[in-house]
This record gives sequence, structure tokens and C-alpha cells, in this order.
Amino acid sequence: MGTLKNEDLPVQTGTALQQNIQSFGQTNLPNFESSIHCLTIIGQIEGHMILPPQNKTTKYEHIIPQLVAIEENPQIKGLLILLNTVGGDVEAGLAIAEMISSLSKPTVSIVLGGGHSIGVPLAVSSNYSFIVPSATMTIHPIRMTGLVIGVPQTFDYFNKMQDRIVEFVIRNSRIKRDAFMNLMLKIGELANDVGTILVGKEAVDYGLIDEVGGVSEAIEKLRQLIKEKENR
Amino acid sequence: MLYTIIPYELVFQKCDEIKDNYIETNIEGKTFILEKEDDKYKIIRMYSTNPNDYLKTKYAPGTTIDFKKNQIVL
Repeated sequence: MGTLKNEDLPVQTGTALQQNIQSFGQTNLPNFESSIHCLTIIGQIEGHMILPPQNKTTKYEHIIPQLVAIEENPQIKGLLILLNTVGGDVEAGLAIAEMISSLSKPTVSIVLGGGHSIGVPLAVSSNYSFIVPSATMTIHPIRMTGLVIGVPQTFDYFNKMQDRIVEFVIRNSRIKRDAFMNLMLKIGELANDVGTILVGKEAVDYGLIDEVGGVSEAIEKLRQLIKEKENR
Repeated sequence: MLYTIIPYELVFQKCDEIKDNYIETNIEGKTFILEKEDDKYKIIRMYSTNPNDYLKTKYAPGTTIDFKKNQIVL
């Protein structure tokens, strides 16, 4: 991109502030191409069902092709994953998590705000994971509402779904199966529910996340991983 | 199947209000969600992994695009 000319910009019909910025002319951005791309996973993970509009969602049909593009593009050296999710579709979440964990390029994730439910496998899918001190992660069993036909079969099915998540988390982090299951089935932590909320450092203490830190630490780690990969 | 901390009732609260004036399209190699306003389109969201794209004001949410004036080439 060269200089951004005024006529290249779309007509601003926004606030007076926006128009002000336009009429005063704006500073040109330096022509700098980042070798680190970032993937933001926010809100609900939307999978097989379109969710109603009050949900802010991240759709897997957007994320998966982006991950392929990142893997293919020789200019991209590393990927930073920013997570602030309340959970969502099990299969979509696991699909994205498997895609991230199987990328050949270095990946670093940061849990900001929250990385709940299906956000847990997403957080651990990277090569190295960070959590900011104020972020929380909720670990709980899969739930359901409504009419259940065939209770033993449904129970088995839920167990299998849950096992896929648990198996992914233990495969991609330092946490032991027993410890993770204990957190998942803990009573007395959540109101009206079974499970645990881990705040910042607690997630690191349990071995779920690698380190407490923010953007600067994550970028630094990513650069280090990129360098290690290049020297190999 | 959902695995989320948000109760099902809240997730599916407004099932019948799915907006039909939202358009998903590809502009300059990036995916955009646009809202149609008469004959103009407002950017609601951009999907890009390139952090620099988010610094460009022409892609900022709220910016309107008039395709007749060809400011952004499809």
C-alpha cells in the first residue's frame, strides 16, 4: 500500500469526530507488513447452528480457511491467538483447536477476559499459552436441557463428547487427567452447577496454561519460537 | 451440541430475530459483514488475521461503502 489518498477513502457519514479526522487529514500508516498474524476468537463459537443475533459469535467457516491461509503463506511466520470466549459448539471448537495444534508454524495463545468451556481446548491448542492475571477459565461438564429419550444412551453419548474434550486438553497441556476431572466435577465452586473457575495464575498452577502474561510476553515468546524454528 | 457457560435459554432467546439485511462478502481479499442501508453498505465486522488491516480506517466498523462510487474494488 502506498499513500492512502483521500479519494480512496469511503464517504464518512459517521459522527462529527470522524468527519473532523477526515477533514484534517490523517497520518499515513507506515508501510509495515507484520510477519505475525493474529486470530481473535470471541463470543460464542458458532458451529453447525446459526445462533440468534444477540450472540456475538466466531464462526468456524471463517476461522478454518484463515488457518489454512496462514499455514500456506510464506510471509507469515507465527500466529497469535487472542481468546475471549464463553464456549460454544463442541465440534466447531474442537475442529479449530485441532487445526491450531496441527499448524507447522509457531503459535502462542493469550486468554483475555474469559476462556470458558470449549475455550479451554482452544487455549491449550497452541505451542505456548498465556493467561492475563484477571482472566478466568470455567471448567464444567457438558450440560443439556429439555426432554431426554433413552437416558442410558444419552448419558453414554455425553460421556463420549466430554471425553473428546478432556482427551484433547490433556494431550495439549501439562495437566493430568485426574486433576482435570477433579476440577470439572467439583461441587461448591459454581452456583447451581458442578465445576471450577480458575482465575489467572490458578490455571498456570494446575498446568493448564503455561504462563501468566500479556501481549508483550506473548509476542516475545512467539518471536523466540520463530527464531528456534528457523535455526533448526 | 453446545459446551458453554451461557444457559441455552439465553443463547436461543431471540431465535426469530435473525437479521436479513446483513450481507457477508469478500472485499480486497478480506471477509466483511455488511449491513445494507438503502443503496449503501455499512461495515459491521471484518474478518482478517492481519493486524495491520485493523489500523486502516477504510475498513473500520461503521464506515459506509458506496459501491456506485467504486471506492472499494470488489
